[in-house]
This record gives sequence, structure tokens and C-alpha cells, in this order.
Amino acid sequence: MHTILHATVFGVLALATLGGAVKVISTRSIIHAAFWLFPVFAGIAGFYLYLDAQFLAAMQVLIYIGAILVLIVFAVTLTRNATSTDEAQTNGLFIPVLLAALVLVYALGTTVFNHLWPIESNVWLDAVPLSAAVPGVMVTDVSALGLVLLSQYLLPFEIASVLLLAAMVGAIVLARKERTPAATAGVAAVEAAPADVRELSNV
Amino acid sequence: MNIDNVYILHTFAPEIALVALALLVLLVDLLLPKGNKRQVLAVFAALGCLGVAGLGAWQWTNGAPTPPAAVQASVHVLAQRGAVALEAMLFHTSVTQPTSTAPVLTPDFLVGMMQDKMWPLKSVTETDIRALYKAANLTGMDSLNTTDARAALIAYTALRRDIVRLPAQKLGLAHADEAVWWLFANDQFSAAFKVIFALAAFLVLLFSVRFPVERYRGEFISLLLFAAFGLMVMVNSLDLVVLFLGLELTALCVYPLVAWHKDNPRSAEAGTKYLLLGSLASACYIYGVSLLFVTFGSTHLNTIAADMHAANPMALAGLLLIIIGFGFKVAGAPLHLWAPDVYQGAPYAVAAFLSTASKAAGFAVLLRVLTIGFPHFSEQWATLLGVIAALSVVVGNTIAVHQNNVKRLLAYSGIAQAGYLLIAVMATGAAHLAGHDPIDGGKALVLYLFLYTVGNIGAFAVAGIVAQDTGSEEMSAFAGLRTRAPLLAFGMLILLLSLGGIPLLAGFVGKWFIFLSGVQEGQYLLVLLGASMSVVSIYYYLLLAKQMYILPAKADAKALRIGLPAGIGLLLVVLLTVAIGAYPRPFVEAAQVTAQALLGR
Amino acid sequence: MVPFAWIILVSILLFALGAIALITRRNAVAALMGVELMLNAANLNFVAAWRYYYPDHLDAQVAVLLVITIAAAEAAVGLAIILNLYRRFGTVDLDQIRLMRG
Repeated sequence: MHTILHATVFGVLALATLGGAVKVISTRSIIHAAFWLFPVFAGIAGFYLYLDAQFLAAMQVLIYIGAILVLIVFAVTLTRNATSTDEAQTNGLFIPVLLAALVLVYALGTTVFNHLWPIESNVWLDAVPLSAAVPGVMVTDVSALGLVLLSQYLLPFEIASVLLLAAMVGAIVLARKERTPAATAGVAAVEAAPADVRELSNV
Repeated sequence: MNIDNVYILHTFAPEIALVALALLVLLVDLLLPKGNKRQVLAVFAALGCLGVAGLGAWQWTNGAPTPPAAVQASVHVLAQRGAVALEAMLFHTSVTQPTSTAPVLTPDFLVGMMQDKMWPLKSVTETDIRALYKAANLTGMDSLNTTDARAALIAYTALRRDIVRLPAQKLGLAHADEAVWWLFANDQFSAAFKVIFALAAFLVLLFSVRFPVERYRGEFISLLLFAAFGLMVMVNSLDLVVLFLGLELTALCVYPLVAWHKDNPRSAEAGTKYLLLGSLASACYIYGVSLLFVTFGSTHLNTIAADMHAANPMALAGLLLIIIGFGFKVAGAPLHLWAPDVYQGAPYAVAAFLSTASKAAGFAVLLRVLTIGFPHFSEQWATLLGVIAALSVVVGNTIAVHQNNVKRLLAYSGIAQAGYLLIAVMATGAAHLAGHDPIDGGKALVLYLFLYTVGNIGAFAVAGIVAQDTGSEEMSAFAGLRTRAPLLAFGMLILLLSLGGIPLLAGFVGKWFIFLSGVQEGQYLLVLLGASMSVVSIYYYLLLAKQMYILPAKADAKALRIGLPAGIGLLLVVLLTVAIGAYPRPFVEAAQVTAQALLGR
Repeated sequence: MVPFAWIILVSILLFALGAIALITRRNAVAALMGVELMLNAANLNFVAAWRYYYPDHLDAQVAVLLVITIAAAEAAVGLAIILNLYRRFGTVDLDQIRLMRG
């Protein structure tokens, strides 16, 4: 009974994650591909919950679904009419890349199954115990994570804030619309409207 | 939380100064009026970078800082705990081996056991045991468990480096400064590379004064500085996740910088290409790191090395993905396809930075990760790098011959240079396998990275100046440069000859040491290939020289003005190139000390 | 709990699917979606290994937090770059954007 329950939960999560990912690749409409990311991100959040990482599950929902997914949908709508749905959505590399990916999955999969794990990796476990990293604090407690983040990983934490600032500066500069038309000409500035560019690309 | 501010300031002075400079630039940019005055900003930032380089040099001369007192105390406790754990494990072995009678627990006995192959701890050597006993004096500990034993084991392997590094929370190290000390190397190796990155940023900023970045110059400069900061984090970190943070910090600064010319479609295309391929590489890298975490429970290089007793397929898979990530970063042969297009589309300043500082960081990190974290895989990674090196040298040089665009020519020559550098990295692995001292490969790598960074930035700068003047990136734009700008032409000639490896110039010295390290490890074929391809490279460098010196200038060509900042930068670059070539000794010695800090036993 | 290898298998498949999306999708935004899939796969590895084998190594959770942060920043920068591309070319179809031969 216990086993069936776990297998069901796992099956649903895996189906959402992998099924969504397959649809992201295969669907013709780009906006649908963006929406298919939702079950992927939600499935991963579900996995985090299943694995007792509640805080990470919350972060996954907030950042991946709340921010990144919305950002991607925005980008799709802003770059609309990019490719019409009746054309092929993948380039000529699809078959070779698919084969390479199959080889990769096979190689990594056999490695995982043949590896000597501390606990057998292909057996069912009743429950893996969670020992305490910090005395007196449960591992699943956010405060334990906070302690580690702000003591051992204090500097990486600060570096991440610099990273966010830098990313913000770069993104704002690039995404900003120029009021004045191209006043500056770069070294090899090819002044061309989109229509001309397509001609250029045929040269 | 208890942070030793002096320790932090001491160990991260260049990084802190760099970030402060970048923030200052952003702020001043808001206050300055529009117009040419912004060029002052570039000069100001360049001088700031020079200061950062000075701080790095100060760190380098001081050597590694003493760890904070709390760390030293923990290390002592640890050594005691480790000794007890060792005894317990030994006792266990003697019980399970019925033939042995009650042993006397002396270092000599332990060493004897090791030689009898009964030793359960493959990564612990004789030196470790003796050092451990010395440190612990075998004073009593009242309790012991397997976590302690495991922690102690990791400590043993690290004892070779005089200082023990352990996962902070395993030891109960909650102090931030202890953890900082655990996550970052702070050795002379990283200090030397901090100097190289700061110098690269200095030169690029000097040259960028006259390059067309009229819009958003403040943002341009600050992103360049943030990128240099990311590189410093990369070379300094001992933890693969922190390394990823540095890698991405640099990448996220460079993606927009490549696409900076918003009016130029080529720039936009280059930015997109770099973004997609760069993301692929970093995703491969972090997936490899996650596989290593799955295998070892840690992403710290010392822990990985200590826990890896034999070649382990899971770890090998992780390592392979990590090497793919770095192979992209340094533009090694099968992963080089992005480089020519990205350099061609990027602004000159960015292409110069990308092909030098960013590449240097890739190599420095590659050397650290492979030699510290994966000495057990020396055979595998040395072979793999050998293949990549051979491919890069051949592909880079043969395609460069057919290039008409100067930026693409420099890109393919950069791919070839990556091939030479990979020979040096590979030589350290081969030396480790053969039981030799791996110093020579490391020394050659550090020396070559320094002179390549300086020389190649100069070459890109001259190409940029010429292209800006003529409006063409073709080789023919260089025609008759001798008459239009004699000093510029002469400087470029020296830089090109140095890149080609003509004696009495820096490039020759660098190649000499690289090939020497290869020959010492018996890599004759690879060295022969590198040397003969290096002759091919002289051919295409001379093609450019022919344009400058033999072909006449166009009839309407005017004299070319360089401008003071770029002139100073160029003078510095050429002087350094000549100095290293004519009197290499101090530079070689500095490289030796630097490599010693990483590879010395 | 389900066997550990099952979860790692999901992660491997997700990584492979992400790589396929990134390399083969012609639309630049769709390629960027592939990156997010690959980063999620790495995160899943960290969390699963933490839960099954190394519950006292909270480093894994910190690593996941950092990767999520980086993924968000990368998405922002990436979409700005792709928007810029769209303004220049009027399309984000990577097959049509070939000014330079590489």
C-alpha cells in the first residue's frame, strides 16, 4: 500500500515533468511551449516537496513559475510572429541531436545503476532518516538553511547580489528602446532595416 | 556571526576594490553631463584597475594569509580527532584480520600496513600520517563516530598542503571567516591571476576610450569591471558551486557587452549566439557538478579528491561535463565554433577581453580543478586534453590562413593559442601520472597566459583602431599602415611576431616553456604538431605584416591619429612583449612561484 | 520512498530533453527554455542526493538556491538580448539570422 502510494506520487510528478518537457520540444506553437513549462516547473516543485525540501519548493514556485515563466511568456508575446506554426520548429540537427541525447541518457543511466551507492539506489526505502546538521534544529527547518547560507556561504551570497545587479544593468541597457534613431555607427555598423537584413543573409 | 573584518579585507582587497570601483563608475556616470566627458570615466576606471592590479601584486608578494585564529584552533582539534579515528580504524582492521596480533600504534607500523596493501585508506600517504601524529601528539579524545573518522580522513589528504580544509559544518565551524577560508583558496596562484585580470581590464579600458561606445559608457565600463570580478571569484574558489557563481557572473556581464552595439545586427546576432552556446556550456557544467555532489556529497575540490580512491564512473561523467563547460570557455577545438562569429560581432574592446582575460580564467580554473580535485583521473583528462589540444592547434591554424577579416583571423589564432596552452595543462597531468614534478607545465601555462593576455589585447586594439579609421575590418584595411601610422604599424608587427613565436619576443619564450614541458613528459608527437603548426601561424601573421609594410596605402588615405590613452596602452603592451622576450628571467621566476603555490607538494 | 535511481533517471531525461530543446529549436526563446530545463535537472540531482544520502550537507540546498538565482538573472539577460535581436532582424528564428558564417 505504502509502495503504491509512493509510486503513484512519483509517477504523477515524473509524468508532469517529462511530459511537459517533451511538449516544450515538440509543440509547434511557441506560446504553447511556454505554457508547457508550467507542468515542468510545478513537477520539479512537487519533487522538492516529496524530498522534504519545502523551502526550495516554495522558491521554485515563486521564482520559476512566478518570475521566469512570466518573463518567458512576455518575451514570446513581444517577439510574436517570429515563426509561423506551419513551418518546422526545429533545425536540421534534430535527428543527430536526438541520437546523441539517447546515447547520453543510456551512458549516464547505466552509470547511475552500476554505481556503488552508500544505500542501494534501486531498492525501496521506508524512510531515509534526516539527521540534524545543526544541533537542536531540524534539517527540514528553514532556519538551518539560513544558518548555513549566512555563515558558511555568506560571501557567495554577497557575490550573488553583485550578479543580480550586473544582470539588471545589462538587461536594462539592452532592452531599452532608443528614442533617437541610430545616431551612432559602430565600426562595421550595417545599417539595415529588417527587410534588408534578410537579403543580406542571402549573400 | 563573527567575522574577522581584517582577514576579509586582507584576503579580498582586489575584489572589494573592483566592485567598489564599478559601483562608483555607475554613480559618477549618472552625475556627469553627456558628451565626450564620459571618456574621462574610462580613463578613471582604467587607473582604478591599475590600483586593483597593485593590490593583487601586494597579495602575491605577501603570500597566503595566515588563517584566522579560530580556524587554527579547529584544525588542531581536528588533527586530534583524526588521530583517534585512525587508531580506531586500525584497531578494527587488526580485529578483522585474525593473523595480526595486537599492534603497536606507531606511525611506522601504520606505514608498514600501507605497504602491505591492507590499508583501507587509499588516499592517505605516509607523509600524512606522520604529519598527523605530529600535530595531534596523540592526546586523548573521549568519543568517536564514523562522521569524525570520515572528516579526519579528508583532513589527512589535505595535510600535505600544511593546512587542513574541511566542510565547515562538519567541523561545527559556524564562523563566517572560517567558512570563507574554507571556500576560497587565497593563494599566490589566484593572486597572480587577479593581477592578470586587473591588467587586462586596465588595457581594455584604455583602448576603449576611442572605441565607439558613446551610449551607456558608464554601464559598459561597470559591466566590464563586474566581469573581471567574476573572473577573480572563479580562480579563487575551491568549491565548484562558488566557481559556477563566478562563471555566471562573468557570462551575464559579457552577454550584453557582446550585443552592445544596438544598431549593428551583427552585434545582436553575436550576442544571441554567445548567450545560447554559453548557457549550454554552463548548464553542462552545473549538471556535472550536481553529479559530483550525488557521488561525493560535496562540491568542494579537496573533499572530492579525498573521497575519490579509484577511478569512479559517476565522477568521470561529472568531470567530462565540467570539461565540456571549460572547453567552451577557452574555445578548444570541437567547442570553438562560437568564437569567430562572436568576436566578429562584438565591440573590439569586448572581443579583446573575451579572447584574453576570460580565456585565461578558463585555463587557470581548469588547472586548479583538474590537479586539485581530480588527480586520480590524470590519465583520462590528460588524454582528452591532448586530443582537444591537437585539434585546436590544427583547426585554428589551418582555418586562420583563409581568413580575410582581421577579427576572425585573431579568433582562429586564439583557438590555436588555446591548443598550445592545453598542451601545458596536459603536461601537468602526464607528469602526475609519471610521478614527476608537475611544476613545469603549470609554470609554462602561467607565463604564456600572462604574455598572451597582454599581447592579444594589443593586437585587438590595433585592429580596432585601424578598423575605426578605415571603416573596414578586412585585412586590406591595413594596407600601407607603415606610411599612415608608422609607430602603430611597428607595434602591431612586434605583437604579431610575438604571437607567431619569433625568438627574442615574448611569444617565443612562452612557447619554448610549453613545448619543453611537453617534451619532458614524452609528448613528442603533440609538441611536434604544435611546433610545426606554429610555423604555419607565422605565415598568416606575415600576411597581415605584408599588408602593413609592402602594399601601398589607398590614394586618399590620411595619417591616422591614435590618441593618448590608447598610445600609452600600446606602448606598455609592446614594451612588455619585448621585455619578456629579451629578459625572461624575472617573469619565469614569478611564474614558477605562482605555479608552485598551486602544484607544489 | 521510491528508489533513488528513479529520481536521478528523471533528472537525466530532463537534462537530455533540455539539451535537445536548446540545440534544435529554431526559435531563440524556445532555445532559452531548454536552458531552464537543464538547470532544473541539475537542481533535482542536488536535492535528491541531499535527501537520500547526505541529509546533513545543507550545501546542496544552498547550491540549489544559488542556481535558481542565476537562472532568473540569466532569463532576464537572455530575454533582453533576444528582444534586441528581434528589433534588429524582425525575427527570432535562428535559421534566418546568419550574417556571419561560423
